[in-house]
Amino acid sequence: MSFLSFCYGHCGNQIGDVLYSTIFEDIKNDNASLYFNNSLKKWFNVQRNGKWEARCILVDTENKVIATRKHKIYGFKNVVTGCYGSSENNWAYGYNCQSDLVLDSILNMVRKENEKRHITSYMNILSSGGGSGSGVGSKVIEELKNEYPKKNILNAVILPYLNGDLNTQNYNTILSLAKLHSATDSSVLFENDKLYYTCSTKLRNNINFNDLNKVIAFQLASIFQPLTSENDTFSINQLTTHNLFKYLQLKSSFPSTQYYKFESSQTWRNKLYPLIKQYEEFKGFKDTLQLKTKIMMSAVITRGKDKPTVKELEWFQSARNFVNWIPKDYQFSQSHESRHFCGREKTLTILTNDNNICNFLNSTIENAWKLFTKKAYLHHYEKHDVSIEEFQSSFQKMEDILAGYSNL
Amino acid sequence: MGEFIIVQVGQCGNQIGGSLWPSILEEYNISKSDHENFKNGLINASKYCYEIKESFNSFFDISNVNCNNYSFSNLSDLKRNKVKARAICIDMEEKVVSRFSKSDLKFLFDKKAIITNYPGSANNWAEGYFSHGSKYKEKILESIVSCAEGCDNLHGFVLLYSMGGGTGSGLGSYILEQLEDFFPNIDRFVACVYSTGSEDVITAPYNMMLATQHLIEYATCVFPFENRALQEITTRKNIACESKFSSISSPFEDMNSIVVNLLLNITSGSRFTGQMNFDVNAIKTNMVPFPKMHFLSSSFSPIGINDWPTVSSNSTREKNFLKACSKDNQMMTFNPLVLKFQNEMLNFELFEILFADVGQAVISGMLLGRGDYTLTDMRKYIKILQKKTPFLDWSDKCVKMGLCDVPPVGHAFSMLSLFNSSSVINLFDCMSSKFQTLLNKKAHTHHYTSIEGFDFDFFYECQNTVADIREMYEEIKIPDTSTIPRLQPNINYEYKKFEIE
Repeated sequence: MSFLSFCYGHCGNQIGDVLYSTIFEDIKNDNASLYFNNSLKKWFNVQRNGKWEARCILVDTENKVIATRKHKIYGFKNVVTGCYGSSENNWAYGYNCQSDLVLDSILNMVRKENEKRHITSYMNILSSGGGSGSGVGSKVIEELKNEYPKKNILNAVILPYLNGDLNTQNYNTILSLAKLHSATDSSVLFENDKLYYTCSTKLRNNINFNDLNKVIAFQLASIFQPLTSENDTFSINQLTTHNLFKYLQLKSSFPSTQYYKFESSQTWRNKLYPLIKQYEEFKGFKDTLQLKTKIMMSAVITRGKDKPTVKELEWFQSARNFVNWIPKDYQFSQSHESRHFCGREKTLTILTNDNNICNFLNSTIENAWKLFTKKAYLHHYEKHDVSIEEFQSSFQKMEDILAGYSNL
Repeated sequence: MGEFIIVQVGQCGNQIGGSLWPSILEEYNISKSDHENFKNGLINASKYCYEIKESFNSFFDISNVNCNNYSFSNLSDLKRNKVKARAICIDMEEKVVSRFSKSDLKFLFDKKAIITNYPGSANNWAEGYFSHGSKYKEKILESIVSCAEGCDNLHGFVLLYSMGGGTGSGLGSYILEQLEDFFPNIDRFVACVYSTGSEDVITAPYNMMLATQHLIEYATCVFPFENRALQEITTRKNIACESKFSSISSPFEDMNSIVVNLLLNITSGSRFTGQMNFDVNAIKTNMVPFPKMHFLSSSFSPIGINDWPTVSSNSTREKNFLKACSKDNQMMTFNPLVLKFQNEMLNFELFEILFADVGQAVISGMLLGRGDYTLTDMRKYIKILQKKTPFLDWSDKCVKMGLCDVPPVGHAFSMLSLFNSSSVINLFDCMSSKFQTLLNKKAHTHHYTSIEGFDFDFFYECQNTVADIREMYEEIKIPDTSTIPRLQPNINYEYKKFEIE
């Protein structure tokens, strides 16, 4: 198992940086255990002089973020950045214009990496709201799928705040999610609002982007770090077997730093309970329909001493919150790694394909549709060859996905 | 980092430029002599020296610098390394521009980039546009192109001129049009001063209307500065200053410094890094929902170096945000936080205020926090804005936010706010009513028609263009309740039985 990660745009690059440093912190004091070796192989290339190099391609259309990257023990060699100016928060500009400038050099680097080592998965980290990340990202991902149709491509997509970061975020989100949905098999979605909530309850009062990035990186690393026991062959594609339902969401027992001392004793039940509560308390609205959590597929990944017992995970066996048209055996999988993760005694992550995403999709489509019917901001997109028809087909696609999820 | 070319046209433009360049040097922590150090600059210098160094090329051409590892601390360093300002100074009189060729900073300005003539444009738009335009076209374009060739990453042109005079408005409009032709993909930002309320030139209404027509057609974004608003701010600031310090600066310099600080704030997103990226190019995408509606009301806080404590706490930051969005700090007559009286409607006077102002609609807004602002702060402010600002039913989510790491010199934090609102109608009305009175009498028109190339119909044409854009802003205000239903999902719900791959 080897990963090649791609970080697109401002947001993607910040997260990529934090992700690699999380992994580095996780394994740096380990020497030559199986876990260490697997993890090293998975994320890094070791050069002849013994220096580590992140197997990661950084793509941005302006060099502000990448320029300020401090060099650490490991380096980033593959950097595709141009001084072209940002993508103006415009998906069309990134997708149709700026991607041409970077596409060739990216594909070249991918080929070189493939020659070095057998790479099983491509992971793309991007935000859907902006221009560079979502626009250039969608184009590159489409090309990757064309060039390497058999590789496993997965995306980590960061969704914008519902009440606004950018004025064009809803257009960008709809266009990029629709493109990614057709091009790839699975996307892990991170809602900024939920991350922000997690941070505000667990961390301190004044939150910065770095805090959000840390949560995302922690969650991603906790599912993708190696599982050494032989029976556990967890693959994220297990969860996205239906071609309409490709969106996954993560919940993990992110440790509180503020109240660390007061945390209850480290049992799996204590870790799991708050997460399950979030599922139970979910309230969704679609037109007049009231939704309750329905889970299609789920996986639990635990890291730490003692494998959780069946009884502790019994919630996942209950039929109440699961759809009834998938056999039980497929619906739930459990993986365990006995090594600690990031120095925490116990870490638990739940990965689900569920309908909690409905609220986000519904309001994003609603807001974008409002603007679309007023024809606001459309001239920026038409200027870069995104026609009304393309908008309409993207809207149609997203409505289909939303309908699918809300009728689970 | 993003680069900008400053094009300063006419007396007003060059006066603003005259205070712009010292402020830029101050921001980049360049001292005047070898020994002197800026007291205020020091706060930034130690903390942000990397960012400041990285973005030095934004306003200066450093292609002549030999070594890669450069650092500048005073003017003689710049002189030795042949650093040039990315500025084009154009005036048809020598008076103001000569300050560049005589001051301490004269080595910064390339001889080719200073274009002068004698005599001036006689406060006549037509003379600036037609006579001087055709005469100096080659020369101006040559110096702009050579300046643009020295850029790796040109983010935009910033044009500075006043709308009332002859050279600024006339030649400025001409240059704007040429830039659109020669650099269609580079954004053109215009910071223009409208002499509303204090017209010192009898032909100002003509000049303003004719120049506004060109702004509507050729500019990417316009940041109008109303003279009356600037005057109000300076008088208020002087009162504030006098209580603490004795103010010795002249009102014109104060007004110029407001324009300068606003420009530095607007361009800061492209020059410095930030957690939430904000590039100047993004202003156009975020703020202009329909073509040609690109007149943005801008404001920032703190204004002036004396009127704010550098202590940074949650409450001072929030106060600063409210100040940045308040009516008092706007560069145009506009009040974004109009709905704040809603809970206190018992008071009849307040009720009247509410009614007077509610006729405006905000199409889009933007907040840029610099320095200590955190994500939590910005989330809170956006919520406040969405509650208190008269957004339209479809534009209530249209707030862009940005965070920039480096605050302005001497401050721990600052806030810039931009709004695209229908209040710009006031400006158009004020302008066109005066224009109409003059035109009815056909007063002074012979000065214009006597210029070769100017046709009397141009007056009607510009009147129509301005009326059209006014109409567009007027239409936006009318709430449109008709909604088009969303698309119906096109899938079959009977998928419940399917096989697992």
